[in-house]
Amino acid sequence: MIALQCKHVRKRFGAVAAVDDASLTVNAGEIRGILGGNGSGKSTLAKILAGSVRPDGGEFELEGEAFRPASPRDSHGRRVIATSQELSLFDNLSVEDNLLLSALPRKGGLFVDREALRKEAILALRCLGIEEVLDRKVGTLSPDQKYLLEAAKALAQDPRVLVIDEITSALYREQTEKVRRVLRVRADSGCAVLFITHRLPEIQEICDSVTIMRNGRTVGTFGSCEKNENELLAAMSGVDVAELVRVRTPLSQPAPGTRSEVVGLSGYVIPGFKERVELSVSEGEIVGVAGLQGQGQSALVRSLLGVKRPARYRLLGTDRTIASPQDAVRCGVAFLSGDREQEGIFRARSILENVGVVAELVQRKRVDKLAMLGKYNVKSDRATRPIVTLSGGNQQKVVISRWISIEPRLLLADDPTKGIDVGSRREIRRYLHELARAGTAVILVSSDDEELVELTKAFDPARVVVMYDGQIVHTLRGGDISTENIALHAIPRKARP
Amino acid sequence: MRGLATATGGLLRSSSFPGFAMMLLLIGVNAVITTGFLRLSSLVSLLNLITPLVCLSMGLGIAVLSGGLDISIGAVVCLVNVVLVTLSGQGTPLAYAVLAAVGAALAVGALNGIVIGYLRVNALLVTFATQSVAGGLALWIMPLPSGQLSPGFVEGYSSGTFLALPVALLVVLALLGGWGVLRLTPYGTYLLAVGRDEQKAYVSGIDTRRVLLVSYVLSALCAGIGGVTFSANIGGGDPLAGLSMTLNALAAVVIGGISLSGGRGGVLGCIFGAVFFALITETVLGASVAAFYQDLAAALIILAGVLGMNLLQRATAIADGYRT
Amino acid sequence: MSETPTSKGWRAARTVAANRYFVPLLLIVVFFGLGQLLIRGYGSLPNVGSILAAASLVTLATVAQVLVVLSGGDGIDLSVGAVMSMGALLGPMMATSLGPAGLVLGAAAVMALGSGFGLLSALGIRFGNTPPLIMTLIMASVVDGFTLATTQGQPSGTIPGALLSIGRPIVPPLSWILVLTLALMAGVGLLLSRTRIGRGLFLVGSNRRAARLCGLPIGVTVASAYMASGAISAFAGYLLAGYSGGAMLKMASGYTLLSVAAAVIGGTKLSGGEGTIFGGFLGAVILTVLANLLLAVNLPSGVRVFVQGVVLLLVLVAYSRGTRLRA
Repeated sequence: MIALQCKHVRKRFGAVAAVDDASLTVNAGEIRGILGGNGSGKSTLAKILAGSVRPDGGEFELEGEAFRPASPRDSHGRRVIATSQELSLFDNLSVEDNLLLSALPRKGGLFVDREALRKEAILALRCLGIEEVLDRKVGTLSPDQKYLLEAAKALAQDPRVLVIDEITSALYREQTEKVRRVLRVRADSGCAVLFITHRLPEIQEICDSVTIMRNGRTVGTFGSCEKNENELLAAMSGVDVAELVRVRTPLSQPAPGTRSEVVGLSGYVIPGFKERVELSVSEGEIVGVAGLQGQGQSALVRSLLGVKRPARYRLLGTDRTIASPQDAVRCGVAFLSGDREQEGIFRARSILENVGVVAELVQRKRVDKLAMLGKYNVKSDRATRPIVTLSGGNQQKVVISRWISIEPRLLLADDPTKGIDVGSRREIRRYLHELARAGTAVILVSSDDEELVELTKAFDPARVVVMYDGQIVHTLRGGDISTENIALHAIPRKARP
Repeated sequence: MRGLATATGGLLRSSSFPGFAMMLLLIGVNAVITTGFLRLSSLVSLLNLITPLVCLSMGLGIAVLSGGLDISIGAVVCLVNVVLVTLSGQGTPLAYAVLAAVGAALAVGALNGIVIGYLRVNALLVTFATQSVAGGLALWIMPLPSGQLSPGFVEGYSSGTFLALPVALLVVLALLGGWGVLRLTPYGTYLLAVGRDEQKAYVSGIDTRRVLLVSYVLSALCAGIGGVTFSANIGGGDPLAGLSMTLNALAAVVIGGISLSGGRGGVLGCIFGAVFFALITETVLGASVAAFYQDLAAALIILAGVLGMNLLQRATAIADGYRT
Repeated sequence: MSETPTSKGWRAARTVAANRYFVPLLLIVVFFGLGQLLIRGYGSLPNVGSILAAASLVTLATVAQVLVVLSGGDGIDLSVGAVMSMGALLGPMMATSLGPAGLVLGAAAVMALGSGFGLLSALGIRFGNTPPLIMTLIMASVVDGFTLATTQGQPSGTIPGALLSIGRPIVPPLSWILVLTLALMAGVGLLLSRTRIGRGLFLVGSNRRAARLCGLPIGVTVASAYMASGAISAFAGYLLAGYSGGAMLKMASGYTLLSVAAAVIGGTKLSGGEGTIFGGFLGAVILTVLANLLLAVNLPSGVRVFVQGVVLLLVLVAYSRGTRLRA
């Protein structure tokens, strides 16, 4: 029996199509994996089903009846429940309140039945093996406990369609196993489960079938044992299967060190992680940082700015403490963020103001802003218009030219081409190359493997480091740089202990 | 023994504790400074005087717990006072006059709740505007202080007792009881969730707009009841007298341990904060500070209290694992 | 393909309507038109001059408010009215006791006091973890208390004659108070466009995170906004004493709400980073014309306050709604 059917679901956020054309059909009793890389639209689809994001288009059916998820209450009413990747837990409420917030058991119609609440909470916790959190404060729980709690919360509502959005990245092996067992039991009693993950082994271990998403579209649906890992990877990243072989070429030797070091990390611990990182980047070098989302790449680059806490590392040959972005900028460190809205542009301000902010206001240099805009091909007839009148790509070019104008020693970039059109991306790559040739060291984090490859493969000196769990697990140079190699080293083949 | 230790530990860590401690401290100070402070009759008259502020603080506490603020409460008191005195001066039976007055308060609360909850305008600014709406109405109805409430009403409030408890105390206990009941309903939990993070509460399936509407209506209800007791205190009508209570109630709420960002704290703490407040302004200052310095001293105490509590809260929030 | 006259006309109309001052100017024309209908001689130069003189005071308060709101971070200054009252009471007192140059020195002294209070607000907001609304609300009480304490309830000294004549017309519709206000507006405008902190203010208010990552000095910029607000409010109070011919405790408390409403009507966004001094001026004129109309039609003060509250509510609902829950 078909439990859920979605047809041609679409959703845009501004200029970016998060979900472009997604369709899927899931049967009752089926555990369907949803596999996809960063930005493939899986989380947005989950939120649309949960009712918290309004779709621009698409039809939905639940057990044959039309379904329009108009609000989370609506979806809950139809027993379509999704977990939230950002966790929907409240640290000011007890664990039992958190678990059953959406459906507090009542007594006498008006009051909350505290006894029943506690009993149901214990049951919900027990099926995932976390009874010990019952009387703890939610804020003090470890990440794995929080994710299990989030899952327990969803399960406690007895869903007909359950969407689990990436909870296993925080879990240990036995916990993932428990989740698997619980999902199986639920599925066997008629629930349809959508299991969103990026971990290939889980597809085969947990799911009955898998739908692959890429760039906002559903690309194909297969039985979980139909395709091997390489084939699944190929479908996820859009690369030909035949090319997806492990390339064992000897690493090209790094050129003898004639360039001076710009930034050196030794024994550096990225905030939020435990292991130490060693990294040295010289003048004019481009280092791409790859890996799955949340493995420390972004945290690494941001910590070097001293955003949350002071950072101690070697900058331009001397040990320094960078206590704030102001310190960083004064030492010639520039930061380019992919989150233009929150961290890049000053929305209502003019293009000229956006270009000149660092050079003129912080470093007191005079800059010919119009010339810069022309040079960087920013199309705008009047530079006094607000920057939001530009396309996303052009906005980012304005932000880049802001930093280029101060001739930085080091440019740190966190996914700068996210959500930008292909043409602008090419131009941005060119500017980064020019910047590096002029002597700036560039450390660029990106979730787009193709981007990193294009940036580094034809440039010398350049390399790509792949990160996992706060550590650099592999370095690729020269001929080794390819999306296949990045993908191979980014995704853990062996499960975590 | 261990049970007692954990209970005491729990009490010490409760957010209302600093307010409770400060209140006790001030009662102690007053007992020493003011002769005859601990006599029953002076305690009762103090209680009568304090009750309006206590009611306002409790209502404001609910609004703040919901993640917002209600600075129209002082103006609501003025409106209630003016409506009550005018109607009863025109011969309306007291019971109906009280109902009408509280009804006016509820109307303001509903206005607040709709604009904040459904039209999604910033709570602070909306209540700032409705402060003028309610205050202007009060001024219009009664441009100058006038009117007199029936002596029976005034006496009944100040010296009346029911089950050997003064009327004022009963009012506070009734409100506290009402809050206790509310906490036992789903609304009580929803309120804290919405206050902590409205988006997450929405995602969890809560009708956050309705929760906000209810919160502002309750805040206005408490202000309305406070306005009725206030009227009994002053015995007549005054369109501007209640305005200064807004800030005092705000200070009481903060001292009482309610976090201004929402979702943390309890209404009991508001009571302690209000008592602390009122004790400062009514007695300590009255006794030891020259008349013209009293306002400044009171304002500085509010400032110190609010800053202190905010800093304290930030420290404990970090300890409890909250995201700051 | 050539445009027909009608479509050209529509296009011109749309560009005019899109101009940010369109709504405020339209409102001024509407209210003024009403005035002309209801009151004889409303449009005469002397009457316009007296409206503009009254509007000058609201304008100064609004300029102060605009600066704070521009700084972002939910910035708002609810102590504007209290600082104004302080300026009205203490300014002339200091002027008469500071010798021959007292007129100017008195202004300078009271402005320094006002900026001191502004600095306290900024410090409380930054280091005391307190939202601007609450901090400035409390500060208003502190300033009122301070004023009461220093004047001991008896504002002493007479108001300097020069100050008393600022409301008088030079050449209708100009009056000294209007000229001073326009001069201050020009001065503030220059600071905002020529100094690093002034230009940085818009950026800090527009996006604090981005401003921080660019290395802009957030703390100094925000503190400067609050200090400027305090100074300008104090100056406005100083002029108010001259304009009204006297000073009373809490006389300017109504200016706080007016300054917020005028700022919003004039196009300043409460989220920060967007707004102009000139827009604030237009907003002030609108509210003054409205208040003037209500006064001329002999409506009691309660109704006037009520209407001001309703106007602010309408303005907020029209311009300041938050983001939707369901994206």
